[in-house]
Amino acid sequence: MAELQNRALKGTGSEPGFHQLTRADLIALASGKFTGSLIGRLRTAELSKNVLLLEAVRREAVRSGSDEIIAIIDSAREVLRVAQISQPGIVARLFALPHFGLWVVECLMRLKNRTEQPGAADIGHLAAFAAVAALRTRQQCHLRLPVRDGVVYLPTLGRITVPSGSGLSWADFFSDGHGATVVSGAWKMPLPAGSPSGRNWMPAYSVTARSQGLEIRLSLEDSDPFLSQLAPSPCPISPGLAQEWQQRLTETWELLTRYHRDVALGLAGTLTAIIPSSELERGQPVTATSGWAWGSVLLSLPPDKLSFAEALTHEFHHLVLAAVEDITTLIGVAHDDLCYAPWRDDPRPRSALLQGSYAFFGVAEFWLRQSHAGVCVSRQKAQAEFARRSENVADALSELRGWTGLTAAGHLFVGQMADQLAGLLAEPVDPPARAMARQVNSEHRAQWLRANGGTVAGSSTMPTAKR
Amino acid sequence: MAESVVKARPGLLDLSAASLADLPRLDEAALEAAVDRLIQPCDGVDDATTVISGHVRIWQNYRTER
Repeated sequence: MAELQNRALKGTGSEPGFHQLTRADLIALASGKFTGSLIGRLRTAELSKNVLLLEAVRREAVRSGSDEIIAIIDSAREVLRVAQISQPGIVARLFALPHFGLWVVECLMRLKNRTEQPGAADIGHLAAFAAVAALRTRQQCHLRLPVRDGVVYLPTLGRITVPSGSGLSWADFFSDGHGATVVSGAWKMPLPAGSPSGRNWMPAYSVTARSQGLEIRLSLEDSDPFLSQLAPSPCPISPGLAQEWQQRLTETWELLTRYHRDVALGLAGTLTAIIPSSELERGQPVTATSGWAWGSVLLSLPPDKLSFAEALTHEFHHLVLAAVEDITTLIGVAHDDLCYAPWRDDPRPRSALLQGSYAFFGVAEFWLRQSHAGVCVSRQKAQAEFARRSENVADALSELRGWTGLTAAGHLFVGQMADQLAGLLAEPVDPPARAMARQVNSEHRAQWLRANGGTVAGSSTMPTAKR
Repeated sequence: MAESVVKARPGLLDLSAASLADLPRLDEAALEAAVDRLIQPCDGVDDATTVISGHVRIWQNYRTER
C-alpha cells in the first residue's frame, strides 16, 4: 500500500492522507474548466469513497449482521483480495463502477438503519463483483451468486437466466482459471473467461462513440439489480432500442467533441453507464444523477442530439460537483430554509440550489457555445436558452452569495461561479431571444409565487416554517 | 488565499490504492468520521423529487415547460 494510505492505518502514528482540492482546482471547476488530470483526480476520489464504504459495510456487518451475511462478505472479499494482488487495476475498475457505488451505500445504510436490514441476496451481490474479478483474473474459486427473479447478474458482463425449474435463490459459481461454470440444482452452464455465450446468456448492452480523437463507451444498465431501481419507469433494452441509443450517441458525441470539447473530455473521463428510463409523460424527458451511483446518469432516450448533449452536459456537472462535495465540504449546515429555484415548481432547500446552479451554469455555457456554433439549431433558440438559463443561475446565485450555510470553500466556489457568470451575462443576445427568456422566467416565477404563497415583496425566500 | 488546500473539515480518506488485506487496520475513528461526513450532510442536500424517492443525493433535472 502506498505511503499515503499507510498513514491512515493503525500503528503508523501518522495522520491519514486525504484527497484534496486546492484553491486553483476549485476555481477551475467552478469556472467549468475541466482538464483530464483534474477529472482523473475526481474519479480517483470516488474510487476511494467506494473502498471506504466497502470497509464500513464489512465492519457494520460484523457488528450487526447475521453469520450468513458475514460469511458472504468474507468469501467475496477473499476472491477480490486475491484478484487485487495479481491485477489491482481490474479490481479498482470494478470498485469505481456506479454499480458498486450504489450497491455499497445501499447496503451500508440498511445495515446502519437496523430496522431494514439488507437481505442475504442484497449483500450477496458483492459475490457477483467478485465473480467478474475471478473471470477477468482467471482465478480459481467458488462463490455463491444470488438469483433474482430467475436471473444471475454479473456487473458489466451480462446476465444468466436460470431455468425456472430450479426454484433456488442461489447459484454456485466455480471458476477454474479458464472460465467458470454456474450451477443451480441439476442445471449448469459454462461461462468462458473470454466471451460467454449461449441461450441462457444475455450480454450487457453498450454503446460506443469516437469523434475528434475522444472515445466514450457507455453500458446501458437496464438490469443491474441496484441501478435499475433508480429508474422511475424502467425501460428494458431490446436490440432495436440499443441501436437507437447507439445512433443518438454517435451524432451527439460528434456535436459534443466538436463544439463542447471540455465537457466531452470530462464525460469521457467520468461517465461509464446510462440507466435507461421511459418517459413518465410523452414528451417529458427524464434525466437524473445520483452522487452514489457516480459515473452513471439516468436518461430517457433523448429525441435528438441537442437534447442529448444538453442533458449530458447538465448531468455531467452534477457528477463533478458530487465528487467535489465528497472531497471538500461546500455546505456546512444540515438544514436550511426554502427558497425559489428557477428550474423547479416547488420550494427548494437553499443547499440544493448549489447543485442546480452548477448544472444549469453548465447548460447556459452549452447554449452560448451552441449559439456561436450556429448549426443544427436556430441561433435564436440557442440564444433564448442561453439567456434563460444564465438569468436562472444569476437568480439562484444571488440566493447563495452571502449565505452563512456555505463554508469558506463553498463561498469560493459560488463566488467564482458568479464571476464567471458575470462574463456570460455580458454576452450580446438578440432582443427577441432576450425578451422570450425574460417572459418565460417571469411567468415561472409568478406561477411559483401563486402556487407557493411567496408574498414577501422583493424576495422569493420561503419562511422556514413552511417546510 | 495562496495555493493552499481548501478543506473545511476532515475530508475523504485516500484509499484509492489501498489493499483489501490492509483495510481492517484502518483506524475505526477515522473510518467512522469519514463515513459520517459522506452520509450525514447528504440529507440536507437531497434534491429528490416525488418521482424518485427513498434515495438521497439524487438530482433530477426537473424541466418546466418551455
